[in-house]
Amino acid sequence: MGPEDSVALPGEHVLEERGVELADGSALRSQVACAVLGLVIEKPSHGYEIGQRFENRFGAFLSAGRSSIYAALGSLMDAGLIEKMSGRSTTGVRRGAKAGAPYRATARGARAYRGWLAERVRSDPQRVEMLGRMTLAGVHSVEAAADFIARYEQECVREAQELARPGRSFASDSGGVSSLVERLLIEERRRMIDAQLAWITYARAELRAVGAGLVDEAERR
Amino acid sequence: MSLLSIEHATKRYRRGRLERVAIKDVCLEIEPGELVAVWGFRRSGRSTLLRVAAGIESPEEGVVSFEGRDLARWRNSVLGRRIGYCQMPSSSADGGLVVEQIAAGLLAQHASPKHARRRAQEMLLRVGLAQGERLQCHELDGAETVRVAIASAMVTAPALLVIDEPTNGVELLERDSILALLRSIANEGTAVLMSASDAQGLSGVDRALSIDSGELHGDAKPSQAQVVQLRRAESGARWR
Repeated sequence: MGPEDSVALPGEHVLEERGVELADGSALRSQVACAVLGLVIEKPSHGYEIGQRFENRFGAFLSAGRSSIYAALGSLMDAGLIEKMSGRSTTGVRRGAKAGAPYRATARGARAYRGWLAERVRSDPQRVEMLGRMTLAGVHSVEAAADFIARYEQECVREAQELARPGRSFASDSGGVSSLVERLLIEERRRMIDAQLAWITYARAELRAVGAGLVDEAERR
Repeated sequence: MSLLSIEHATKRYRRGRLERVAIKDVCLEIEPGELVAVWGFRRSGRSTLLRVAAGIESPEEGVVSFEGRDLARWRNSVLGRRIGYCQMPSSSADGGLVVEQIAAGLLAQHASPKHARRRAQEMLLRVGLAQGERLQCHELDGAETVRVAIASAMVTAPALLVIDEPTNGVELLERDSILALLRSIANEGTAVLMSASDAQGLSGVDRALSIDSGELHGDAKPSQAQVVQLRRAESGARWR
């Protein structure tokens, strides 16, 4: 097995196999499907249990009924990212998958999931661009800009306040790697907020200077 | 009636002909058991706000009331008793035993040395420094220095703890535990007003405000729902 094929990392419940590379994962265009894939990688499960874990873990962010979960499982199966668990004989020859068997991730699914995560963890420059354009469209005076800045600051401060609030943990275990990853993600978000707050302070200084300039100009007239 | 109420406070500093407004028309109310953080950069006015809240400085305009009384008149009787102010962290350069430094606040109020020492030992346990009793102040690291400062301020069982940048000089991985300590102090009924220079300092607080050029932004008082929750927690703490 080459380095590209050896994809299961410690802690990932995936099927190590050399499978046929199926058509690339368009299944991962859906956030629900990605979330379902993550849950299957975390722990092989039946559809019903995945639905319950989905609700517990992602219910606050994503809305998905049971039919959406099964649709996501179907598309992930079609893309070869998960499969139904099947028995194996002692010689390693696969027996047929059982209809009611739990789902588990394939090695390809685990790799695709990590790639998807890495893309999403980065900030999306298009989103920032879009917000910038929306701001330009609706903010036309120093006062309006100052009000926008104040509201933006409150949003940042509120988010910082909510981060790592006791009892808001979304990791499945209380210690270990999941907990570490959770802390690291929180820290990454905090540092983003620090940068946003620093920008707000700078923006206020600019606005004050512009405001003072406008007053001087008005007095000269 | 709020525990602390700052109404339209303005404070200026003058150097020669130059005048700088440190805080401007600031309003802030704090309830018992509330953990409030004020975020701001250096020279934003955050430290001045905390000193005004603690009664160390008086505003030139506006009124600061503590437990319904004008703090300007009563500060000598409440500062160091009902209000604990944490000074950071030059104390690590001070000499003497940690336990003596913590007991100093009580000794200044004519408590018996035996009582002051026992209370200081209790506070060391409370802030998670059980091993600190025999340490000298200069032997403390950043986080331990902050814990000792908190213990020193809490030794008189104040109703309000004011602490300026509690995570300043503390190792990155130890900062959350300092913030958790402050959270637990608030949960026991002591209001905590702290300043923060980064987002980490705002984690898990009841109310987060920001200050820039002396102007305070955010909710000047807790919401009605927060007040109800805090009063319920306070009465629960009283019965425990």
